[in-house]
Amino acid sequence: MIEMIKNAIVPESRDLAFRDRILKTDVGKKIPTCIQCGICAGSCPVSHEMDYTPRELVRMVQLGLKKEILNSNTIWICTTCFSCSVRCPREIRPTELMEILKPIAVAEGIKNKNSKFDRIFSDVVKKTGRASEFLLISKYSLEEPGMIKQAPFGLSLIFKGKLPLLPDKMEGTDELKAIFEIKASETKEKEKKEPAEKTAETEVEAGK
Amino acid sequence: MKYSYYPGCAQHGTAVDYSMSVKAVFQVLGIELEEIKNWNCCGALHVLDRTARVALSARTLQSAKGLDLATPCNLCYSNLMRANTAYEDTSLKNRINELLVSKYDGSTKPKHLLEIIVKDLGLLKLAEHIKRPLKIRAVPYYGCLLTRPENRFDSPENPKSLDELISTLGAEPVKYYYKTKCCGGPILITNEDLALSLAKDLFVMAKETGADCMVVTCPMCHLQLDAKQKAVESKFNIKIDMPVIYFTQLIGLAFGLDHEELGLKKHLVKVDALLNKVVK
Repeated sequence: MIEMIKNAIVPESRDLAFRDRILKTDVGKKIPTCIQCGICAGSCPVSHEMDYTPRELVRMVQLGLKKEILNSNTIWICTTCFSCSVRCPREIRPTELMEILKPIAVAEGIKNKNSKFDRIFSDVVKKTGRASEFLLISKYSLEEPGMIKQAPFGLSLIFKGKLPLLPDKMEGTDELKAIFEIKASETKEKEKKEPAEKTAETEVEAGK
Repeated sequence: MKYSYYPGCAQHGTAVDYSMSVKAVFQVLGIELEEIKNWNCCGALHVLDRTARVALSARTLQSAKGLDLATPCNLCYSNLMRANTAYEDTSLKNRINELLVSKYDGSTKPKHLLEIIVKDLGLLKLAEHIKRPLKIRAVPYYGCLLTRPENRFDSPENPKSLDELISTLGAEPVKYYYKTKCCGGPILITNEDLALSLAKDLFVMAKETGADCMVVTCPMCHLQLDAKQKAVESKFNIKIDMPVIYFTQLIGLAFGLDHEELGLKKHLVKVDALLNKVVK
């Protein structure tokens, strides 16, 4: 028999500041209108692997279940295919909800394969302007030793001339550096204005 | 016809075969693709900060210098389109423009190469160049980000442009219910088991149609369906043996171009059976 036990929601686990923060965003505005129809979950190609389906995630945002949301695998399993988003009768966009939850999770100290790869990806683009596949995979493999299993696959691409070993670079990456630091500078300004309120963005910075 | 061209990172790496076929086919069509100097990555799905992601695409869109911006990649296309939508927010636009060496006004129109061929050039014009109608059956596979989110050049639920292109080339587009279902490419590196199971579903459905090949429009779909096909075969202990080709390669074959010039020798799944059928 399939075990289908989920912990009951207790009011203490609700975080209303987190809820309001999400509801204030462009993506969050329509979240209160969700009718729990489940079209999102039914359309999602990977909901069967998620701790919480997109439908459940939207409800959890309404309730402000910050801890459960940020610790779930849901936001990291999403393939960003937008099937849920084009079908939602309330024009809620679960894909974009996942996108705004990811940096918040990272700021809260969540670490996993995805957050690792995303960090490496941003770092490579910031420094070289382009995402050279060999450089990305090499850097990722240093942090994820299990990737060694992919070596034969990598070699097969190299033999076909599809994985250049020299990274592709653009000129003048100072502009990109500024682009990647925009969030940090915005946060510093915000911090000056609201010194008492510790925002997730400042935590990202502190975590670097 | 002339476009500013944004190849994207994969064209210099895993999609070098795509790049070869784009060059060859667009030359025959007489459509000029002028590569943007010093372009940058669009951030794919991995630059988590939204402002930075929009800024990366804004910088690229600005470089188009008044021309429409052509892109071969579904992911780049999606990011560029979404950046334009984001630029409707004036405060975000101003904030990003402060960082860019050249300001972007939000007016560049990004176009996927399939859109350029089907909508701008038109299939009647394309047909004039056909030397070898393709007597094959092909799966039209659009992937996710070519048609989603909404307001792209084709329907997000049941797109037809690739089907029509395949018909124009003399081939038969088979009915394929998974034409816009995700291939798993975006999670290949971080969740391979799940990614391969998504690809397996696509293959099983494609095999049932009895098609000779699958036709794709995106470097990530190709990596997943061609390069990783062997991994799917061994993980699920099934025989697939399904050639996966870019739509530009399919066009090139119908134009009578040499398969090596179209990069078909660089695929990991052998295309010999398909080529035999094409030249017969």
